[in-house]
Amino acid sequence: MACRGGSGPINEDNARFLLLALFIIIYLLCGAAVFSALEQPKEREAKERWEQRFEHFSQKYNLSKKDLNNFLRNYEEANVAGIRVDTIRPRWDFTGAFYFVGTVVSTIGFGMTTPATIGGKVFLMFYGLLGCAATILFFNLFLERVITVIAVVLKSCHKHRHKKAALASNGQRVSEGNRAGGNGGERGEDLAGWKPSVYCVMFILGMAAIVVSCSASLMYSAAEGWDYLDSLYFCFVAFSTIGFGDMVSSQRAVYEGHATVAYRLGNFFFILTGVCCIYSLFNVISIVIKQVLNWLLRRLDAPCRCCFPRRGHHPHRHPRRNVVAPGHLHTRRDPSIETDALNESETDNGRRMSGEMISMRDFLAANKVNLAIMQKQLSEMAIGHPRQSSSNSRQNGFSGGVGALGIMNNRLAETSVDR
Amino acid sequence: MAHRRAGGCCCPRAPMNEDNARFCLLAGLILLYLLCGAAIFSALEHPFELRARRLWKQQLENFTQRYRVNLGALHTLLRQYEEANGAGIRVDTLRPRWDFSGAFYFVGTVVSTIGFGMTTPVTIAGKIFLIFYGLIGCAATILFFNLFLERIITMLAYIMRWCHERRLRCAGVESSREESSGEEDSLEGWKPSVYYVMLILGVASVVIACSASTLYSSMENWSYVDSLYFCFVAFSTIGFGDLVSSQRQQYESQEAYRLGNCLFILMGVCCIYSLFNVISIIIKQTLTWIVGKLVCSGRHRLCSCSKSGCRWLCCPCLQKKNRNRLHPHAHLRRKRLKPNTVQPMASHCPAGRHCFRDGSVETVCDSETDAGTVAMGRMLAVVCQER
Repeated sequence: MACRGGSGPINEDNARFLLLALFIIIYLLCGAAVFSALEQPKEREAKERWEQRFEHFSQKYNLSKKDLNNFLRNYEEANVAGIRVDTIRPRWDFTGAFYFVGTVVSTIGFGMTTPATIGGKVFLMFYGLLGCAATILFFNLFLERVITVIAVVLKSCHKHRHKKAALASNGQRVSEGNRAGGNGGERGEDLAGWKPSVYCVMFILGMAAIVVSCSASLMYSAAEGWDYLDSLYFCFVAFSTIGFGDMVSSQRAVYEGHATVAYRLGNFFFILTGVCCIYSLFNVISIVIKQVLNWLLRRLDAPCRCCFPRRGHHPHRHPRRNVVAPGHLHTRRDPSIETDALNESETDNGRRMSGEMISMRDFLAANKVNLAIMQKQLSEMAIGHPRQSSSNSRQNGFSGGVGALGIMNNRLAETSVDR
Repeated sequence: MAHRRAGGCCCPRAPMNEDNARFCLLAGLILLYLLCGAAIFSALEHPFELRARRLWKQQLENFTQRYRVNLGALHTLLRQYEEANGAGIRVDTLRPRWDFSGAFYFVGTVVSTIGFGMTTPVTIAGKIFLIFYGLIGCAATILFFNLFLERIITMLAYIMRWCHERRLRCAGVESSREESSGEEDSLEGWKPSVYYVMLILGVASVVIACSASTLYSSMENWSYVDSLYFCFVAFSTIGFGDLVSSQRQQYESQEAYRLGNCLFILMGVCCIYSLFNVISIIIKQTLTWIVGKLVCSGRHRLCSCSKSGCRWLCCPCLQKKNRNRLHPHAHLRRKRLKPNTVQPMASHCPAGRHCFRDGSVETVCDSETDAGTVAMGRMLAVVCQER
């Protein structure tokens, strides 16, 4: 990337977006090549096998190919209405329809049941619009709740460990001082601003996802008679909301051992839990991917930084957004302005001419805000973290953040300094 | 759970805090929505299913009688045909599943989580590879959609703000200066409404869906309603797979069609995903309002006490002036805010005025667990206004 004094042709957010698009395309191309290599032989085999069987049958019963094909076309149509050779449960009785709308609003969309009438299709479009939006909100709120719970648990562990260390190393004097100070965070570690690391959260969510998938797979391989590996595959496909539909659970009319109702309930709860977990896991992994992108962007930008103090920024004075590299986890503690997720580059373009040093007034202004912030934080710590009035968050439609990224903003260590 | 009672804070308290209440309410409402939807779909589709079953039974009987085929053998053949279906074989030959372009279509449906299912891996290695591939791919694509959502909301806010500016300038500077403090027309605190953004995104989605449908109905010979249905199912990433575009072996202008298919699906998913998220904001506000109504009946207005230790929903016994005493700055800031508005936040104010110059989106997590950040947010607003 050529050295440019000033803001450059693309601001940082757009650059990151384009870089991500490029990587996804490369990822798709590589994936296509690998899958093609893995699966094409089997496809050819399956085609040959079917043609053999078709030939054999038509010869044995003296049928013309055309007639047999017409018959098979009829069967294809029947498939659309949910008919299979071995009787399966009805598609559109109440429980079947409930399973269907479940696959719709969660956007899994197995496809074992699909509306065939025009009325059904039109109704689906409006029903799905509201239902999918509500379910996306549900998953996002779940993500928020999970991160909150994990943060609380990790923070109390952290505090506990920290107190132990303080007591052990400093004895009586400091422990009294600690107690007086309220939170145990005098020596440079500000627990008030502590947030869990994204890697910790990802690890915990990953463990949870594995536990849910493995238990669900046990249930499926027992009830459906699938391989354990096939069950795991089904779990992944369903929980990630991909939902191919090649394997669908709970399709038989009846299950052995009078376990039908229990199995159907278990199926519902496992899919619900699994989708929530994997959705949260995806979003947390996406933060990690974002970090990697930021780091890459910074590496690409690095030569420019040495030549010009671009935008007059001192990195530690005005840390750029999204500069936390993977690995620099707990270093950013000072309450910087950029903790508020702001489109910094847009304001900067408005204010700074190319490459000028930071002006005195802005420097003072920045310092003033920093000081004010620190004062406020200290006073709040003394009072004990008053809770933000929720009416504010109600009034401003977008102020709670848009989408999952907004939800995770400022809740993790890596999303506090950057976006 | 223990809560510290800081003097004279609240009257009745809700049993759980606001976030959990909202979450549980949403779960309950979605369950209700599912039950109603199930009933309606069942009523719409069940007759057709019964008819289709009868029809198939007839066809099976006719076939076995006419050609004197053993029913058992026919069933075996049909089972084998089902197996072949899994490998992507149909009566009328379709495009190959696992050549490079077919595999590309497949991985596209995987990472976007659409998952039509017209192509699925059958080898064990393929399935294992899919799990790991999908883990990273879906996360990256979710990030892509979320970044797109942020980009598009920023852009919309910027454009709407520019239009608003122009309108103000045309209307003359005088009138705006008179009403400048805290009024809607002032640009100082102006942010676009979430309903406008939803309207714009909705119109964009409809335009994309309709143009895509004309393409599909002409190329695939589907009815227009079927094409719209396919567009909705694909763009919302539901992806049933009963209708899948670009499956035939041969089309006129095949390359152009495939490219168009790819672009339409990409744009459609991005738009509908953004639309869903914007609608979910509105749903969230409705929920918060409902929770408020449920907890505080009558004339008490819902607040969350900002005094220390008061972390629950409560209905203030005290009137507005008490709140002002605690948070004079919040009062000041509230004057400038409208409900349902996008909030840009300046990092530090440029010299003089115009703190809120750009139309960017504030994504400060304005919520409860983060007193430090929130305090910072308010502080910034105060600093800006003081200048």
